Amino acid sequence: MRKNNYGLLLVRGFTASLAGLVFISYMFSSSGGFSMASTLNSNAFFYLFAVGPSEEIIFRYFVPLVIMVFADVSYMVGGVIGGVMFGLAHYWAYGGSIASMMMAMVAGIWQAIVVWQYSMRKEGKFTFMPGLVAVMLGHGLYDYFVTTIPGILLYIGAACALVFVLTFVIIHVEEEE
Amino acid sequence: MGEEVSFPYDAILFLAISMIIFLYTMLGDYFAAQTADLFVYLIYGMMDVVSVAFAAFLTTMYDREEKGGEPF
Repeated sequence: MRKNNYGLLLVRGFTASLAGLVFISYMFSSSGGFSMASTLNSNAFFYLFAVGPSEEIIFRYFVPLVIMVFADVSYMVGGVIGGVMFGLAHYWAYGGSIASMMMAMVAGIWQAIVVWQYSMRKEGKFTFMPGLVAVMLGHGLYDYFVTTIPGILLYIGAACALVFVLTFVIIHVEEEE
Repeated sequence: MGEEVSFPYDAILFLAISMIIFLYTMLGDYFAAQTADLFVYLIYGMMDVVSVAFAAFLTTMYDREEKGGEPF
């Protein structure tokens, strides 16, 4: 019953996406000695409404779809290749930093996993719904929070992780009943 | 194709709305938009349109082939 619930998948996908991005950026920035806040230097609205949704459509939908069609592989294979390309595309955006590029690669692969895990399957078809919207929201809001309130980013990630775990527990309790 | 896919209408709608909201805030001068923002916005906009159009083309072509017909 819960498998194809659009709202629940959207909440789970969004929280998984945002929490994952926060923890990946903390892991890489603390070990690589750079600050994410210094890499994003444009307006927060720009990242929220233009950059996040556009990059997700290109690297989590278009690139994997082209790879799926021409290489005859599943979404996850295309998603991982799209994630690597996402990292390479950020090399210049992050000022030529290898550590930042690696972080973007891991984040890209994580986003592809979220799309794969939190999208509905209808009549044997992979629908991208609502996984793609979830990662668009996650990416846009992550960039927005990094630009505006980087000091409490870790708390936001923890809150998202908590909501994600709560939904997981609720689903399992319902299934057992 | 490794697996059948359908067109993500919700994501395309979300993308269109968010791009329009950003254009509205930028043209309405609700924040100090930089010239670089407008330039990158136009590049993203063009890439979005081309990506979605080509993805729709591939999905439709694959669907028609699956149903035993000619792609186009």
